[in-house]
Amino acid sequence: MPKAKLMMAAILLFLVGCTPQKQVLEDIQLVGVVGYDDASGNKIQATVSVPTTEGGSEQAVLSSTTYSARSHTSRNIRQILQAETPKPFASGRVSVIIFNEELASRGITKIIDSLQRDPSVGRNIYLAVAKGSTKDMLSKEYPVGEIVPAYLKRMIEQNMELTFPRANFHHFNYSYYGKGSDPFMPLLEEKHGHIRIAGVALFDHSKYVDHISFEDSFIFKLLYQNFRQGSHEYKLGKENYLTLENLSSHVNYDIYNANTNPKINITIRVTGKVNDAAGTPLYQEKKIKMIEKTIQKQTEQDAEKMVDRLQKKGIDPLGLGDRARSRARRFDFKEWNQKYPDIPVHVKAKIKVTQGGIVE
Amino acid sequence: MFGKRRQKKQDRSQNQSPRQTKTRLTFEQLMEKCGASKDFVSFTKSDKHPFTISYYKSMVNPDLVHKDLIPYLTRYSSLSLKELSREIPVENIEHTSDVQTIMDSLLTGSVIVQSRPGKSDCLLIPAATTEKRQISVPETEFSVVGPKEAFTETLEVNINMVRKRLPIPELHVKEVTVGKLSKTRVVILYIDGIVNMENVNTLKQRISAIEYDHILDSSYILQMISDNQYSPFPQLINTERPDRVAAVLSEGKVAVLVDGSPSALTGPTTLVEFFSAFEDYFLSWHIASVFRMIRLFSVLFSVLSTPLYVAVLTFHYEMIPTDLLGTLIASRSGIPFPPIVEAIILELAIELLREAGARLPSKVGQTIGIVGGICIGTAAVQAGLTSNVLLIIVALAALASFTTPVYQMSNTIRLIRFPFLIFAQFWGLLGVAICSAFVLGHMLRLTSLGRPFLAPLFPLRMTDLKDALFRLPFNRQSLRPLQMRPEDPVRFNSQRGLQKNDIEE
Repeated sequence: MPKAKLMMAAILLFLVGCTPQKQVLEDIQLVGVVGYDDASGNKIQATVSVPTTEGGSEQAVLSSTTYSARSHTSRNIRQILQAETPKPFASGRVSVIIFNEELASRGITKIIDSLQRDPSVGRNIYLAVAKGSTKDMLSKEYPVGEIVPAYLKRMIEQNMELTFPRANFHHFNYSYYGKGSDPFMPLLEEKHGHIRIAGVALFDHSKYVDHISFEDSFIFKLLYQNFRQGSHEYKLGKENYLTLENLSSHVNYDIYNANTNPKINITIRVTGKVNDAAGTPLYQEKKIKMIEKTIQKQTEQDAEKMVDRLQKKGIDPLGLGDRARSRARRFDFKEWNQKYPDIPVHVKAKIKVTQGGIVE
Repeated sequence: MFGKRRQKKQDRSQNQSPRQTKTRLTFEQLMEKCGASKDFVSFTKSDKHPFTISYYKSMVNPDLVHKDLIPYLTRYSSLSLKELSREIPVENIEHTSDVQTIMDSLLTGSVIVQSRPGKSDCLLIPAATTEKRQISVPETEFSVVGPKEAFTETLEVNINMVRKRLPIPELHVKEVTVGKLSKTRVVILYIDGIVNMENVNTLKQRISAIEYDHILDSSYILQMISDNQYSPFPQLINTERPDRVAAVLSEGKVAVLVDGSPSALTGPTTLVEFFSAFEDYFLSWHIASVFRMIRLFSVLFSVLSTPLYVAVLTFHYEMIPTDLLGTLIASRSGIPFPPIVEAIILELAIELLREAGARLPSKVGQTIGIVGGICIGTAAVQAGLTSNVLLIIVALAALASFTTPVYQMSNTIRLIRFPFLIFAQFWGLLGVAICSAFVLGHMLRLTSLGRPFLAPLFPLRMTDLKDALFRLPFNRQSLRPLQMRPEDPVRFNSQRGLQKNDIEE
């Protein structure tokens, strides 16, 4: 017992200073969004969007303001920005990080490295590429009833529920640091006073090289993951169009001879509903069969075209290499990378239309 | 750490010789001592008969003296004391010459009758009067349905209320007198054949070992016989409901009634029992179970909500949900205090209101609550001294602590919030976790009359769980709680309890 008491006393005496650093909510600037632009002379320009309040505790109005500075390293930029803010910055609530197109195509290794070392930056935040200057994008106000950080975060979040493939910082890190896969992220653009997702920005390791249009992101998502929502438009006959709403989609990869003479079969199973078929009588079994066939053909064609395009570019956002590695022993990435552009990939789609809305 | 010291103290007190044997009074000295008080009366009715009557006017029922004593004394003036005691129509008349006994019974309202003044040989006729309060409705443990009787200050009435509910000879009542000055009668009740005598003996031994001059309420006893007197947690239940006492007695528990106290003690108890209101048994079991869960949740909420607020706002801004962030920042902006000061101010304000409400007469108390709650609250927010989010949290926490049905426990909950707050301020969520570990560790070590306090959760007693966090229907409660180690664990035949005796064609 006296030993325990002595220990307690010693702990109280010697560890009084061992308290974590306080970061009281209202005494820090919570950075919501960071935007990186390229600047002249090997510098980068960072713009941070910070929520602010005005009007006391009762009728407080939330708005956002931006600070921006240029330097060689992102840590130093933070130091420079600090010189003009009333409170210290805290990066624990960054929800979106945007890279400007030019900067992204030069490579984002340095920024990613410092970001992923920072323990206060979450892994469920979103990365994105922006067409045009991120500073302009962040310093504007958008009539959406939300401040810019919340707007961006929710916009990306809800699209990833729908037609956009899932891609947060964690997924980025996986495909960035892992072999046999390349990262991708949403491509943002500012249009008509709003920010919109323009497509999927594809990276060759750290460099932004190409993008898929937003319309085709559904096809990409079909190939990339199993999911439950989203919709896509198909052409039916010459003039007609219809929209397939996805109820559930599953993708399956069959990879043969990964080490020697690789061949890949991708099977997509989609169960969907057609609500918007522009006058096609959906109560007829025959018609539905026809619709299914058309959708199947188009999906296969589009998907194969897309994979082919990725292969030609030498990028692998679908993680084919990673999938092949997981199915083969003594897998050699060097050999794979050489063969990659010419690997035959076949996509087989199985479409099932189970609902046609209220018909009878 | 504390247990050892307590044992030593007990050893010491047992080694000491009882104080009473210091000097023996003679009868004359006693009479002289008593005569110094104005309310002591000693007289001889007339010269014709020799008996001298002495008593304390204030302690004796005058009707009894006038109607049942003096007429007989005058009628049988020639009889000896022994013969006289057979004639007087009062039971339990004692014939003694022991001065100590005479003094004790004189002071508890007996009339002494001597054959000759100055002679210590005398009759002791019990004629104590007691002023009784009407049996009233329970106030701290009010229930909407069920009996509306509460204990009063009179021991006999209280025992009567229990015995009325358990009319069996096995209900034993053992009396102990404690308190050097107050000579308080303390009564231990149990049902022989159900109770484990170990519990009774522990209780009896502890009560008779009490060294104190006056015992004015059962809460004195509660504190003095607790297993760990340094714990903020009450280890016996203090109840004012005779029905609750009857119910726990039949579970195999022991109850203590104290003369002059309108509440009984029952034990051994467990933590979960403090959160079960007796009304739970009057409601259907689903509803009662849900209410118990709500009560447990509200205790957790009450203890942890403000510390969590302080911890999150001081250290873990990352944890705040995005949708709440705007509201929180807005409500905190412009407040001159850090979260901990803000929280302590508000918590103290609530405690002030509560204390003021409890000290004032009930009519004024209500006004205080309204004035304090509404005026101070809104004014503090408008003045920008506190954030309205915290105001809501603190008010809800206070409200939640009121749901605890046992008053002593709700006081404890009020108190243990503050160490949590301090830990939250120093170490954030880690501090809250450390403090919880301390409290949990303390509760694990606690015992109530030597039985584990956290049972049936730890040690896990599956059979007792049926009436712990939730309450199963009565026909599933065929076994008495294992916690008390009852001599007869079976309440009723479980097979027959589950049968349905519906008449079918």
